[in-house]
Amino acid sequence: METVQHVVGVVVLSQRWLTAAGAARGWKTRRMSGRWSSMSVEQSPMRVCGREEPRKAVWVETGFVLLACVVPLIFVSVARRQPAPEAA
Amino acid sequence: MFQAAYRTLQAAVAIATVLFVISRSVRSPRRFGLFRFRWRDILYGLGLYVLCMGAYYAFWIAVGLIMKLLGAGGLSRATLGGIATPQTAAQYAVLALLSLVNGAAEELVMRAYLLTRFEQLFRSTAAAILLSAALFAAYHSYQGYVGLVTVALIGLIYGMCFARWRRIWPLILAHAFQDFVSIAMLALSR
Repeated sequence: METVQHVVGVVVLSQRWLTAAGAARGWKTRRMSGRWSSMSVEQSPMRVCGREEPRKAVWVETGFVLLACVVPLIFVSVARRQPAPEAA
Repeated sequence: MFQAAYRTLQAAVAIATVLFVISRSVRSPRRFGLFRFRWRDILYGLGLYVLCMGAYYAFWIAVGLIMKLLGAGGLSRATLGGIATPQTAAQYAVLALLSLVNGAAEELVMRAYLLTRFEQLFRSTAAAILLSAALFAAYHSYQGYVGLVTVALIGLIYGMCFARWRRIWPLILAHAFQDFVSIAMLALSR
């Protein structure tokens, strides 16, 4: 059950966060424009001008990876810590 | 067996997530250290594993000596009591596979993706190495303070090696060796 929740959580999170990251990059998504973007990543102005990705998109995407892959492990690790033996 | 399957699934989800995110980036996967495997990577991985073990022993011997000089109490060992250990050849094979998958997941997330992104966001390689090592140590806190410091030390060495080599394969292999040998030694000592 825990595994299923983890997988579903990651899928739901990825849908929301990656849409936000894509929006921050300036890509059109199906939800925003009603159809797929006509502009591919390779054709986007950022790529043509040789510029780096917008910082906001990188922040959002990094936050997503932290939330999906690292934060659950930290919680599990803290929960797994054996309590200190009680003083006699 | 259930524990092994659960951990493999967790690692697979992390690998898939990071590879998907990297594939969406306008940056080349090579910027994240994703190069084709070379046989030489095994040697680099073994070398890194030996380096980490050397640093581990040197660090804790030095800490032990300092504590002895100061008259402080002894150190408690890392807590790994809850980890299931292999008994049969088949279980050792599963452990080897699990170590490789787990090593791939952790190194792809912590070094290939996060270290590269932190470097980009903070514009400092040192800060990126420190932050990724701190996060790496944070989710190993179940191993107690000794384990926490050891993992932070290993995280720093892995981060420095990744910043220098810019290849993820040696780190995945070193991590897999590390996991496999630690758990195999735990099994043999029981």
